[in-house]
Amino acid sequence: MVAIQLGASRVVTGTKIPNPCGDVNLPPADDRELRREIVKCALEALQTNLNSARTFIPKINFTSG
Amino acid sequence: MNLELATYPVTKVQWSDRTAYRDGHLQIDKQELLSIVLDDKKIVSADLDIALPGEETRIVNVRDVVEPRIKVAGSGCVFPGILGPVDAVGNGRTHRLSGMAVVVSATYRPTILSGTAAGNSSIIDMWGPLARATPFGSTINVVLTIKLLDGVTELEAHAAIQLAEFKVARRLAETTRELATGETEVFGIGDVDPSLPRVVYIDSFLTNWHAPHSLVAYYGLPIRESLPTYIHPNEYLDGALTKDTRIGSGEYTYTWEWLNKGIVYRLLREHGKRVNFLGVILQRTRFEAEHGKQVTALCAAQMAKLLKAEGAIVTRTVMSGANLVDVMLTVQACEQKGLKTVFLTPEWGGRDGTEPPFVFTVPEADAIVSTGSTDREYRLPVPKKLIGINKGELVQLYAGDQWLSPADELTLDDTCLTGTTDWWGAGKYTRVQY
Repeated sequence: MVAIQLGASRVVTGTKIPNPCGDVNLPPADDRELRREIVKCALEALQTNLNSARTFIPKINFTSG
Repeated sequence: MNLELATYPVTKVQWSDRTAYRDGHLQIDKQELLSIVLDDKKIVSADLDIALPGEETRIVNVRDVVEPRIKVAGSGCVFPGILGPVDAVGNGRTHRLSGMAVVVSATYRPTILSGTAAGNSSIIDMWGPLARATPFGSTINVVLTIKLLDGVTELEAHAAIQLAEFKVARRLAETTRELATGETEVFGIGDVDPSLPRVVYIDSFLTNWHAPHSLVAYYGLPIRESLPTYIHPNEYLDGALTKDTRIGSGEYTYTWEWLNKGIVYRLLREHGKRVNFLGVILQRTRFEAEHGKQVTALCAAQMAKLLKAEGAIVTRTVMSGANLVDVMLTVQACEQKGLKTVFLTPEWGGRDGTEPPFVFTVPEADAIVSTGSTDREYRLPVPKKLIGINKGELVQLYAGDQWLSPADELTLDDTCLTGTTDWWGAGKYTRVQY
């Protein structure tokens, strides 16, 4: 939400503020999978041509809080 | 539920061979108070000083400030869950000593050395620009300086500092127990003219899940990740809300401010006159994912709506972006449910006031009351007297910061100075639009 307001053109939603690209509550293997998915989503975002700002949502589930 | 609050003004404080109050004159038996404090074996040394407004005195290592209060009738005690059992407070009669404060200056060997869970402290000047910016520059301050035993844990440090200051404050207020005089005011939120606008106060404050104490406690219980709670405003007046006393930095809050919360008193005084004050929604903020932020916002707005509120006042604490998002979403959720919502807060803005005041806003936050900027700098002149430190010693305000010599002239911003951030509209700031 903050990134969108600040005018970033490509926003990838992460997990949570202290560890946006991972989830410490997950076992290491699952955390690694989640981190890979977020980075892949970011790489896709970089390769997408845009006319206006867009939010990219990785295919992830994370423990909330 | 009504609470009668009797005020005993203090205009003079003096050392004496007995502790007593008479006609604004407070006498203190220093040895008696020190022995109460040194009863706790985690405190290795203790001293008491008096700091008067106008004196060129600087108080350092400030962790908290509290107003002496004591319950003389009704259930529970002042600071329930800390100085006594968890009995509901906010009824009966409570005495307060006004015009004075107990300031606690404490040092201990920390075990958390960086980050937001580490302890910190601030500075009070009794004269000059800082004295004009903090409420504690115009109170007669009884300063308790304590040093804790090496090896205490962070939570033990908090508990020792808090108990010491609360016991001193209680002993001072105890001097008024038998007095029936005093200027009294009765507070309550009973039935009133139903045509008055129904207003709720949403008290949003940041709490931590990762620190030894969460920052804010209700009946002594640190509030961690949880959803909004509904309380009676009188509970503030009896000290049901307290804080982490390891955290003394100026961007946080002080027990004195929780007891003397401007918004709560104003709403109580306007109850039955201009508004129908429905009570307070306590809202813990700083959820770490968008999901939590949305749920707490929805829950607070839902609770306000269930109380049939027509208007809400929202405040926050701590200069945190994560907290601001939660609060802004709460304002938005309230407005979307049809509540007229006012947000009262200080701002950022940078040294010269040209930077953005908020990192996040919502279009529904269209009624904001500003209590000033926290980015202002103060030039503090050289003091004649220092309290809370030995001659030649240095102070570190935040863990990891450079060490400062408090005997020198200092240039510091709000966050380093006790009570200069006005979270609840009772401070001495105003804002000017250029």
